[in-house]
Amino acid sequence: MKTGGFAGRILYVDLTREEVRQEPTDLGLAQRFLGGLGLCLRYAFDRIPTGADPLSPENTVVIGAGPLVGTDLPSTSRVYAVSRLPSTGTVGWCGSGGVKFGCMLKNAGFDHVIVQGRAKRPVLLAVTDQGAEIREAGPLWGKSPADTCEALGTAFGPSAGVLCIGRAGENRIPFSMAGVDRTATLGRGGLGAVLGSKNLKAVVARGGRGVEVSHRRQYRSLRRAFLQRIRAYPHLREWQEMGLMKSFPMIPRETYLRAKKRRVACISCPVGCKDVVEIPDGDPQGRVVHSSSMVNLLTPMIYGFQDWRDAVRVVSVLDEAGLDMFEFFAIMGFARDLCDRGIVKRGRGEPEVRLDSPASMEFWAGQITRREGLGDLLARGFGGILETLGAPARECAPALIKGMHPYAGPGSALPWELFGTMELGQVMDPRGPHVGSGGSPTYFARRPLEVFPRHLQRMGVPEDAVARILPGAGAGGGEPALNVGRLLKHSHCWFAVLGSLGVCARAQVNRFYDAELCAELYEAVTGIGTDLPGLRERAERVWTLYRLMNAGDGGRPEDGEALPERWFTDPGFREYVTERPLTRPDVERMIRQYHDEWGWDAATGMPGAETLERLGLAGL
Amino acid sequence: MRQGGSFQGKRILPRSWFNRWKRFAEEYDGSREREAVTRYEILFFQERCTGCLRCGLACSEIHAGIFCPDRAYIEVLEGPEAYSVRFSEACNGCGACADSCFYDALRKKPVEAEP
Repeated sequence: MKTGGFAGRILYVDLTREEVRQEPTDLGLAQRFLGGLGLCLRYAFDRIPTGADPLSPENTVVIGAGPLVGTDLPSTSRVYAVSRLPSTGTVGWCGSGGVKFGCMLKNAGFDHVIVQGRAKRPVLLAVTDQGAEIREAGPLWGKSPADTCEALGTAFGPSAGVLCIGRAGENRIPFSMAGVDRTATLGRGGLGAVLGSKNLKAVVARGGRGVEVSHRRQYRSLRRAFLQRIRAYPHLREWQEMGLMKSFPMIPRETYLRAKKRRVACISCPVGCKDVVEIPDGDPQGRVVHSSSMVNLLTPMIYGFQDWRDAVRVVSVLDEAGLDMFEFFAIMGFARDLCDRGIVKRGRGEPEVRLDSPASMEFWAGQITRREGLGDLLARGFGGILETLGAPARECAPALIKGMHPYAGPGSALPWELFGTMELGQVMDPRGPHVGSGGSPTYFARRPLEVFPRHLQRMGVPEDAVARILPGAGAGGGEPALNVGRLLKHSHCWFAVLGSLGVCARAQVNRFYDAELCAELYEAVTGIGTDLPGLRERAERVWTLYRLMNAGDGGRPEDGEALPERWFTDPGFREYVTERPLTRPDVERMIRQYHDEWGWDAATGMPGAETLERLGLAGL
Repeated sequence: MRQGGSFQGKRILPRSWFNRWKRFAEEYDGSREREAVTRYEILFFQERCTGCLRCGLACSEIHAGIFCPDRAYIEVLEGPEAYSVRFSEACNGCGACADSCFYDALRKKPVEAEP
């Protein structure tokens, strides 16, 4: 059997010894864990020690791209990294798109890169047709992700893909991220700091080996029907013109179109949600900003910025440093309250912390990135601040889940009010509060339940589960008409499928995919026989392993105290269908139903022996 | 105009090879026109290009049998203002890049072959 899709090699990097070696990709494991995210988790399972300090040399980073990445299937750009993250202390997935990195990693001949140890000096990892090499990166240290991408593009050629960190990562700030190809960010929770702790500035990839498919005729036939469907999508042109601004029109359309320099798409993506923006007038006129989306650039307007140009400027400062925008603003809100209560004092020359002031936010972004003055304390993240200041600080801390601020919900950056799978997912994903893995039809508010079965079928939800998720009006017993806890299990499986194959998880894009098609495409590309039940089982295996990886680190990831009180105070979250105020027992019931849907033990919330046996994970 | 597996009346491909190529062209989306007209002038509309590299993937699939932007006859370059494209001398104007573009940044215009 010829196995297409996979590049066929794994790169092992020991930065302490400055050694690289390569081994064949274990196709047995690939078959059982699909690839991409699934294989990242599987390789990480063996290599990330329980309880290890995320910023120690013992922590491991597994980077990889799924078997569909590098083909011309739509939106197959995804790059994943798995590591123990400093903000949460848990092992978590980090995902991003990107134009070239995932594709070029595979073209250089590698499915995954596994990085361990700590280099003695700043280095970069160059992965090319000729193999891999650890190189001096001193001149790049201190550069922004965008400048690093540009410098490495010059050195390795314009088609090189780059994953790199900025100064925030170099200074090991637990809410720093990595950047990919100057268009995307990777690693909320502190992947930037993990790479910084290893003195690894960048991974650059370029190659000409190509990505093959196993069953060409089947592939072309599937692709032809698939592309016809995409090209016939009536809103495609509008998406291409407006990107995420179509869903979140935060500034007038005309203003956006005037600022838009060009849209940028990840590799082979029909939507193209990334933006290059040029500020057309005012201050700072002419500034050009690359971003993962115009919507991200405008986020500070939620905090009270009056002028969209200020928002763009401040977010670009955060991107240049490599700071997580949501966590930065949450820390700033906390810092403001700490100052107001006199728990901390600003140093000489440090301005008032004002979330609605661009000048204040720009100053504090710099102060944190450099770890200067009060910024040094704030740069430790919520966990470090609370550990330093103790009980008084705890009283004014915002909602936290596993030590991070949930960015969607009442009192958060994204003031979503209805409680769907993405909102519950902030509690149930072991990586900490992230909505990325919880996608479902509840992504859109007030969707009529009549359309749910169609979407659930697309996600590959079995028919018997659809009946449990939508028990109907006559269910009685206080059962809601939509069972969010049960649905979330299938969101996680769907995310595992998309992530493991390498397909973007954005709703605007994955709407074109369905689970049946994913199984067919996976089989056509890899040659590994796959039907829908088989795909589902492998996705279950992936997520169950992810759950197991975090079992040894302090019990259930969603213990009761993790539910933020703020979610239940007026105005708090509301139930998705009836829109009545949500209560803590409601969410606790959803968590039990989530466990039950998985078949996990009700008391421990962990998979039982039977489940592990069925999924072939018993030996682990 | 080149027809079938012949050029200027001389057969240049065995029939079975030609049929295989023809089937391939038919299976590739939007490329049926290539049965009658095999060469195109490729037009580039830079304001529509998003740099997604799909053109390079399509080109390398047709001409190298693998997906690999570095093995394509079209190269997408990012400039300060916009993207640009560069075709290598090996490009035979097959039009696969234009067929593959989601954004209509590449379009193809039939070129009449010399008699």
